[in-house]
Amino acid sequence: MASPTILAMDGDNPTPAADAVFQTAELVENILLSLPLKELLPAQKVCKFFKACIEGSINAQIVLFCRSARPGLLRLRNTGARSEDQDVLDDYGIGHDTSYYTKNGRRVTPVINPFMRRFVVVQWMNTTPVLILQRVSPDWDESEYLSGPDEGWDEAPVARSFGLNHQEQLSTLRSKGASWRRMLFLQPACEVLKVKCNKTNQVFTITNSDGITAQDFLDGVRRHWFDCPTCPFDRKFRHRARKGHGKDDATYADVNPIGEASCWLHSLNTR
Amino acid sequence: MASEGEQTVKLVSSDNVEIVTERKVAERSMLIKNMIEDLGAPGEEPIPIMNVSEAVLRKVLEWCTHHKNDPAPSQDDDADSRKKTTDIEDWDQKFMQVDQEMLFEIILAANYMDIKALLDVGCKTVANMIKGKSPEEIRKTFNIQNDFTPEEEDQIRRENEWAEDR
Repeated sequence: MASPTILAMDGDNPTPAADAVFQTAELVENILLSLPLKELLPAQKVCKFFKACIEGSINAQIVLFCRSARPGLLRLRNTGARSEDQDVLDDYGIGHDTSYYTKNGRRVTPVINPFMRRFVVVQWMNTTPVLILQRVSPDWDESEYLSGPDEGWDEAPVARSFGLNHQEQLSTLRSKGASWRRMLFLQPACEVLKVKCNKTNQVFTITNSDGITAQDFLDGVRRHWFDCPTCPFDRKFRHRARKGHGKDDATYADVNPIGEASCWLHSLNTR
Repeated sequence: MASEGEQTVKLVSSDNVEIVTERKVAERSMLIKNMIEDLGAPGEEPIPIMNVSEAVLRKVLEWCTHHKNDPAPSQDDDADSRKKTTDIEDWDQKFMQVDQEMLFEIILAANYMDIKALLDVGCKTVANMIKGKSPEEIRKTFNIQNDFTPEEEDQIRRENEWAEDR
């Protein structure tokens, strides 16, 4: 951990108690963990010691979806047992045995990373651990990992950030080093995630044996769009094809899932 | 022998002032509670509270007096301790309306004297002061130096800009 912020000690330090508090890791951790989630991330910009406290705190890392809230990854009980995609569709709403379980066999519904609401709108399907890709649901965002009722994450900013007029914000999302990429998509972390596209009813599977991250999720969406004949990715490429680019020439990497998601969801929201 | 509720203990602040208080009040502090148990004869021997001055100790005891009948904290409620910042009860909120340095003195004292509930109230009060402020405003409020190089600052900004409200 970096050394604490040492302030100029010129004998008549006016705030010795404040300085002592802000130089004690456990106290800074306690203070920062009382902040709402969306204020915890920018708090690391204050000074090196704050940043080190956040990075060194297991609780802060869990709250920020950077570390699983459980030691073992959650598993789908029937992973790989049958042909997954069709299976889930057949059991729509009644799939009893495809839930997430902990190692001890306790059934768990993981919490969706609320940061992801910036660019993707998803919801758990009833009784099955399948996520539906769709628009915002007001019921969806209750999360025990949010530390308070938090106006900032409600629908208004979501709508704003999905707007096509916010290219500047989209470019910060697209930035290669953006911290959301490393965040877990679900908390506690899962190793297999099934997602149902609301538009095509197709189910696709995302896996990561270390726990599915937001990047994994968007890569999965990207792959789905690449394969799917009706999803927005294809529309873009049809458009491109007219200009002389064929879909066959394209690779997954050509698709920018965040930008595409924004366009797509924007059109859903305004329809 | 007096019943436990009426017993008193003698505390000595860092500036050598003796304060007599109810044992039950003082035992909100796990530090004092353990000391009393170790000493065996409460009330007779003064208990030194080495790191806490008289003014702060009186303030802390004021809190302990108001909360003397609170249920004892369970050992494993760490998981539930992440409560909302707005969850400070009215009396505590008023109690925390002190100048900033006193607030931090209380936090340090609560930490040293091992009074978890008071420590949490203090930390939540500071968190409420941080809420809604930019990093620069936070530094200014609490006299914290920005020790990032411009390059480091730029990198953190780039990594987290996506999460900011505009």
